[in-house]
Amino acid sequence: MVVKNESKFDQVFKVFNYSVLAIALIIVLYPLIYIVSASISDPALVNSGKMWFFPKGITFEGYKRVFDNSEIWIGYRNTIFYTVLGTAINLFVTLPAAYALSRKDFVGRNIFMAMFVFTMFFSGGLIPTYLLVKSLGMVNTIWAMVLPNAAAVWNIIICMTFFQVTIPKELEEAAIIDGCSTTKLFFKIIIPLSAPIIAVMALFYGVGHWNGYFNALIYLSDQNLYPLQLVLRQILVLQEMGSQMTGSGAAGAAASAMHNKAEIAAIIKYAVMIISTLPIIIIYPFLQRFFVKGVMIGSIKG
Amino acid sequence: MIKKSVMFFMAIVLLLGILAGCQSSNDTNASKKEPGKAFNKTGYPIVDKKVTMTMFGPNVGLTQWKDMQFFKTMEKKTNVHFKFKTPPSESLDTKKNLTFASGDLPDVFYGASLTQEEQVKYGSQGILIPLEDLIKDYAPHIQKMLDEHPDIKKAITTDDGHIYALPYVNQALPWARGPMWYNGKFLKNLGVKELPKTTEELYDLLKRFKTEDPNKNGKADEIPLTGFKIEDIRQWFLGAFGVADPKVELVDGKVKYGAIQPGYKDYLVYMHKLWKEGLLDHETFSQTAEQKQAKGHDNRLGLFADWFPHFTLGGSDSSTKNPMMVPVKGPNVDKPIIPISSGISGGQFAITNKNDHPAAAIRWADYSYSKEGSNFLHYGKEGDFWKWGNKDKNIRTHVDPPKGFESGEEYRGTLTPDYGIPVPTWTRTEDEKGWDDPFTQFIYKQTDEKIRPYGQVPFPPVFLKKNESSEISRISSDLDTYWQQMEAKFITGQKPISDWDKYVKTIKKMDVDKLVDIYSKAYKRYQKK
Repeated sequence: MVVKNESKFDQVFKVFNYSVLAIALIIVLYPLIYIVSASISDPALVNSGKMWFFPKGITFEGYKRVFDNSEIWIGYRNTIFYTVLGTAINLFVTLPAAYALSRKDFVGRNIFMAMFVFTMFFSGGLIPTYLLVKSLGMVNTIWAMVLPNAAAVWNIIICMTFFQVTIPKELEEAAIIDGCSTTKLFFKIIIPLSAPIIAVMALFYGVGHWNGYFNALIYLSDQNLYPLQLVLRQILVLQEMGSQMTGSGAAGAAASAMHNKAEIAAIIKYAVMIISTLPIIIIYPFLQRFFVKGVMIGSIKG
Repeated sequence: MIKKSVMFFMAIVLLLGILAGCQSSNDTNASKKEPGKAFNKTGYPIVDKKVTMTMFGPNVGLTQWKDMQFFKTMEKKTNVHFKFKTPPSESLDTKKNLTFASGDLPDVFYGASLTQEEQVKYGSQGILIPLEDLIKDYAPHIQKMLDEHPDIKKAITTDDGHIYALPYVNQALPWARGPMWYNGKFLKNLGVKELPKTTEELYDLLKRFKTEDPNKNGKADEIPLTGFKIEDIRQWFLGAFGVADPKVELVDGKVKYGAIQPGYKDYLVYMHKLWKEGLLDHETFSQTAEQKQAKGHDNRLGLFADWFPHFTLGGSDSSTKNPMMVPVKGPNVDKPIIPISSGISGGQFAITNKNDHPAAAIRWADYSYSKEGSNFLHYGKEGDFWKWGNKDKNIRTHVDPPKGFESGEEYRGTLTPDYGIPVPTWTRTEDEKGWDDPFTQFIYKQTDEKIRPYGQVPFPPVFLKKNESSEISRISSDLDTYWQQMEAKFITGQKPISDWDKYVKTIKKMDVDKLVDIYSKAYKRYQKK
């Protein structure tokens, strides 16, 4: 539909549309800019509210301390490792499962589907899950970070719908008539046609691993295995603790030391936020074109 | 049809899972385990052949416990080797619950702050073993502490007469939270010679803070009184009207609920007056600790709460120019009350039924309750970050920490677990006081003058029975929310004080009498111990 002359209503609508979008942009962008500014500002000015947009009292102390802190780098290394390995395992499990479930000629499809869906609504709970992971010998190993929750049912359903909707059945039939085996069909035809959904899944799972700390908290006790988010959490919570110390636990000089630690945490807090979210922010634009497409397709069931 | 049968099958599987989870083991004989032949009842090493135990405790994040000098030296001395499970201190509770619920128990809990409820619950289930006989047989220093201080014994003995966990005892500074401090510069600029002793005098001084520009910047930007939260201020002002605690309190030998006492009403009226006239910071109920600190750094605060005054005001950490607030008294009160901490924090060392060497474990812990042991636990050895200034007088002086550490305290945190968490030990007041720096002396002098004469523990650490504690938590969850909201509303004037009777009536409706009754009973049991 081509509109030659915009009606009055259209013009009003356009103005309205742009202003709403502009407001939305500001709402989303402001916290990001604030954090960037805060990370290079004097923490005293940040806390007193004098720094609200542009950095004030510029200092790179926060970044310097982050780069000097070995714990943060070990955490960083671990997080990258868990994200890459974990996402690979996720995809390795999710895609074949979703494809199998998408095939109408798969024997027992409904039973398997029911079992998958069942776990979406009912789970064993934290403690039985912990006991299971422990019995499997995974507690305090990297495997506890990547194997539990390897398949997310929700994602399997999204993939399954994608396969059903976007890949014509005729294509599969043609391949089979040409003598293609099911395995070959999956790797040579289905996977190459599924780039958008693979990218979306990689992003879903990857961000999940990147931000995840709860599994680490529950299953890990060796500090050298801690992911970045757990290290971060420790820094931030210590700041809270230091600033509202109560009880008989902290006497004299220890109180001073905790207080100093809290002040250091205030300095590095924003720098750590930037450094820890930067990789995700950088990767996101590259995946975004798939992202929009993939989610759209997955959401319409044909 | 298929779907239905699958669902049914899954339901059965689920049910079986639940039933299997309910099975519990009844192994309560652990305390009867005899010490092995290689065990020495006195002297060191504790065991001739090395034994290994697992230990659970919170890590504050400075270094790993296995690398700490304290544990290494103790291992050499005692031949007891530990494997550590040390979750970050901020997630201690999550991990602790998981540990108990999953049955994946360590041999000992160290510094894990087991609550009284946990001690009673897991003690009666046999998961934690009773320690009193072990103490009698193998732990002379702990026994001595309990004999000399019956209040400590009372505080850690459950109603069935067992001790399931050892306490952290440090009665040097009895502060329950950071005290209130005056800004020394304000006092000097206004020429205040004597600090206020009554609520009226205090009101006048706060008024002067507000109107006479004590920070001399020509702007009326002073905030006479602030706190990070109202709790910080409440502790010193509630006592001025004869109330020790807004919750359950023991005043003049009677168990009462603070928030419905007439004194509490006086407190609300007074605080509302301060609020209305802008003497009490209007951000008291909402600000973060950092915001309060920022105001202090800008020299805008007159009277505030913090652990030490320089935390808020900035500047030198040895300045003795900011005096502690003198407790003030209201018109209807003879002597103000300052709520203090008992200095006893229970639940810091417990032995589980998994432990094959309970006698060795209690002897290992016993060392930290001796003078030598508690000194070693807290201060390490001479030269680490201190040296003797005058050994006869028990006076230490600071020495510079090794490179890479900003303070002796930070270095200390890498030597011993006794940093930022309560640990099983008995800290002597004379050791805590025994530093030659003027700030330490200042703090203790201020405390002795202004807190100790008025100090009172709001309520003794009574143990509750299982049904009692569930009843208490049911009542107090609603009750606490209510009175806290109402406190804010009365102070800020959202509710006029004429609503007081209605407020008391509502609290009565919330079963407050039952709560007081339960605590009275528990207190009677406590007295009988």
